[in-house]
Amino acid sequence: MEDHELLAKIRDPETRNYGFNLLVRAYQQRIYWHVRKMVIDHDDADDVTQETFIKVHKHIEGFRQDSQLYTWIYRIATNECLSFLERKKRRFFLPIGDVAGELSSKLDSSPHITGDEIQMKLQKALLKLPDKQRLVFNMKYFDDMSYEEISEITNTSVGALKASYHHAVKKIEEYLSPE
Amino acid sequence: MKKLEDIPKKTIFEVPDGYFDKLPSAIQARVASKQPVLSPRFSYALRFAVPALVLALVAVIWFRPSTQPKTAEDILAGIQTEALIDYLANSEMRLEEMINASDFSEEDVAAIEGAVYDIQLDDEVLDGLADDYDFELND
Repeated sequence: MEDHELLAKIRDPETRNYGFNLLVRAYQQRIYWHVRKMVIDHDDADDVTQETFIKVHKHIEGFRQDSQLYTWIYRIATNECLSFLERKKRRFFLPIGDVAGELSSKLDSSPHITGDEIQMKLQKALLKLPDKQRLVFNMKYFDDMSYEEISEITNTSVGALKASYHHAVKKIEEYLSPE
Repeated sequence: MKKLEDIPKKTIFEVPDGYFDKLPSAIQARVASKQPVLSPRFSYALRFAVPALVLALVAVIWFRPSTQPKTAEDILAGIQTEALIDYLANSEMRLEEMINASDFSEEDVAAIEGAVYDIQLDDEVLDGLADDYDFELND
């Protein structure tokens, strides 16, 4: 179903719930995996994903369609991820290094994470990056999004995004290289 | 140096079985729990009923007939004559105090004087009164 059809169903009070259900089913996996790569833990990703769609439901009447629906939802999910990580830092009064350490330990202990050694090492390398740089890297490397799409979501210039991504790749490669 | 492009692109994350089947209903349940308690129809009526009620109350208070203060005659007319006599008889005020405390208008004074001096006494009645009181007139 096209975005405009989905929106029409949601904005009609008779079909609002049905339309919103269709929207969730259409975008839940993409949003969940985007969130999961940032927060690592499944239960946290579940919370953040649900909060994202609740915000979508709350604000969809005001969606002006000046961007694609997916871009708008992705932007909400991105903000929810960053807010979640920021709250995590404040809650435990930990500097960023310790939060990264906590997320890194989740990679080792979580029942819903499996991967070979190099994949685990890559994820731990990513956790060394600042949250926003990690975000850009995930969208470019894992989601294969264009710089223009990422620019629309993060409200950052394409040039800045390119620089951020190439810098992230360099840091990861240094981390992965044997000493 | 290990190159990123040499590493296979894989996800290491997994989800519990059936997670995405249950996620939409979990979200719908949370959305429903955040809905307002009032039904849209009731809240719509309330939105207009309350301002209308306030306006009606203001109109009632603003346009109610004002009660004019009663005159002294109106007040006295409502009191039994016997009660007035008893009050005056038992009052410790002397006549002069009562008169001084009263606020008589010109009309009131004229009416009182007229009531006093309009007594029609002829000479025969006056003579009778003089005999009763044992004094002579025109001394």
